[in-house]
Amino acid sequence: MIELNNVTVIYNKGTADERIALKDLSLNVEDGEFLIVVGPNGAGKSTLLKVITGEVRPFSGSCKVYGKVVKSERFFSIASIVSQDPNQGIFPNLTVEENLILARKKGVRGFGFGKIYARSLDLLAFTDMGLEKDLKRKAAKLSGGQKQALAMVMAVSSNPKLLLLDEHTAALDPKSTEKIMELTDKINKEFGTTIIMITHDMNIPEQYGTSVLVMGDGTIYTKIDKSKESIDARQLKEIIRSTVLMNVE
Amino acid sequence: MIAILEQGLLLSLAAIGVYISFRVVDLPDLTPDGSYVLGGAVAVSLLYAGHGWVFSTLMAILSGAIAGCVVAFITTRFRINSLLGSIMVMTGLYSINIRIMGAPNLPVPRFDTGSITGYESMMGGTSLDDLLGKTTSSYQGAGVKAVKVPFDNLANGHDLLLIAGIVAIAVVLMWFFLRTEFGMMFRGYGRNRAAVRNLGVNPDLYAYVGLIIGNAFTALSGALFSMYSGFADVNMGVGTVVICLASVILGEILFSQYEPLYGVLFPVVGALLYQFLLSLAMRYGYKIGFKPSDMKLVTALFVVSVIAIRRFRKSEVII
Ligand SMILES: Nc1ncnc2c1ncn2[C@@H]1O[C@H](COP(=O)(O)OP(=O)(O)OP(=O)(O)O)[C@@H](O)[C@H]1O
Ligand SMILES: [Mg+2]
Repeated sequence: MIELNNVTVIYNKGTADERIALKDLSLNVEDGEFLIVVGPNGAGKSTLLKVITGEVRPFSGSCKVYGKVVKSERFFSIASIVSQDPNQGIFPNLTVEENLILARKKGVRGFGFGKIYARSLDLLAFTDMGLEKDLKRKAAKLSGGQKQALAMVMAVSSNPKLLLLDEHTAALDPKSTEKIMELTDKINKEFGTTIIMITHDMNIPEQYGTSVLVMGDGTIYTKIDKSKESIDARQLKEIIRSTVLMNVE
Repeated sequence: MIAILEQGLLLSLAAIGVYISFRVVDLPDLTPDGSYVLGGAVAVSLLYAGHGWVFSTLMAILSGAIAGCVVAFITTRFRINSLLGSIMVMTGLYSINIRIMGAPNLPVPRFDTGSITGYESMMGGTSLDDLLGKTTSSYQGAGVKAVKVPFDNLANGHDLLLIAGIVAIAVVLMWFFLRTEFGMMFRGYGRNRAAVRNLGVNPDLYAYVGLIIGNAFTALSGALFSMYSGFADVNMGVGTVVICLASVILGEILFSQYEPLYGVLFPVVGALLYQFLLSLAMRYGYKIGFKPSDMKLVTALFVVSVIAIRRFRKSEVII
């Protein structure tokens, strides 16, 4: 479980550039939850993820991941992160195969290298982008969607408990977005990986995720648990829009 | 022709080092200007002290590795750009090299000066008397013991075979290293540091390994060159980085898209070509008013223009 208690993040404190990115924010994310985070630019969504990874230290408040206070060095053994830039998660000068081989390095829990590799290939095949047949290709030469698929598979190859996604479909076309989202969903459902995903795509909260977090101005406007509150797609969209609009005024 | 190959291959060892730092791990490193001399200084000093050439060369490699380690420490620990960090080390090495040699330069004692009475007595053995004869007077008083170096400086292919053997071993070792899983991450680190961290591995490790290997190669090159040419001089490293970089670029241009042995052949082939062009310029350049000392300017202009051309065609930058 991830617990943020009254977290406040201030960038450039004490300078003319001072900016409060998160204001007294509290949030719990349960194991196995697939949380979709939405909100306008500058709402503090990325900052929220950075607090969880330990990249940004809160000015006040605390952040605990699986019962332990966050330290950035520890983070990488329990969690993986995929960002919106398809080039960020992969080694462009290595082949697809080499990328996959390296990805199994990280905190291998319970199963051998061979099995991890086989699973990676299965996941690649699942995205249906032809990657599993192109193992000798340099990653730099892949399409944006293929790169992101590879980055996702690399991120989950050692079975992390937590997967953080910062607009990982932002640079993709609708078809690739769908493939990558199906993969994301599969990772959550089949492996029980906890996922926090940021997006600006308003079609995603209605199709995917177990809960939706609407943020703005460094605070949480509302958190909707989709399983408890039985609301349909249109209602959800309406809630998100009205919450954001109402608070923007 | 044999001399060109020999010198080209000696240069290629330093160029491999520069290829590792500049290209493979993408940490521009200016230390080679100093670590090249360091290798020569350590090797020749140890020869003086009576050690064998193999031991002296190994120690020279070690000294280069230490220099690289210091650069890596400064770069990673204080988060300083590797260029700046390496300038510091390179400058410091100037003083250290003079300390090691006890003088700005040091000849390789090839003859037992205790028994040598004059120039004539040396005439017997080697064809290099002209070159070495000038320095005998300085040996005479000192009574230095002769040392054995692996080079005979005869155009009989012996030296070439030895140097080519060393380069071949170096290339194969590097290729083997870059193939391993560690080597994969090493190559990956050069293009995406963040991804290394994402995999839960400390990226700084690869900065250390890259700069250590790079400067070990440069020092090896300097040590062998000193034994080959019969001296170590504190200024013999000036321009090493630029010349090696030019060699790497020549190699890249020759091979274009193709990347043999993860590119380890770039610096080797490039250095041979560079040495060939250099000797052409030396031999025929005077006809157009070219002086050997102009070569460094030409080299620097070459490197800058290739980088400029690549920048203009950004989309085609070879990864
Ligand atoms: N490194 C930084 N230094 C200073 N201010 C920052 C920094 N990073 C973010 N901010 C500021 O903090 C606020 C929140 O930024 P954040 O990146 O978390 O927003 P976001 O919700 O992810 O926005 P977007 O949808 O554009 O990605 C913004 O006002 C931003 O300008
Ligand atoms: Mg963001």
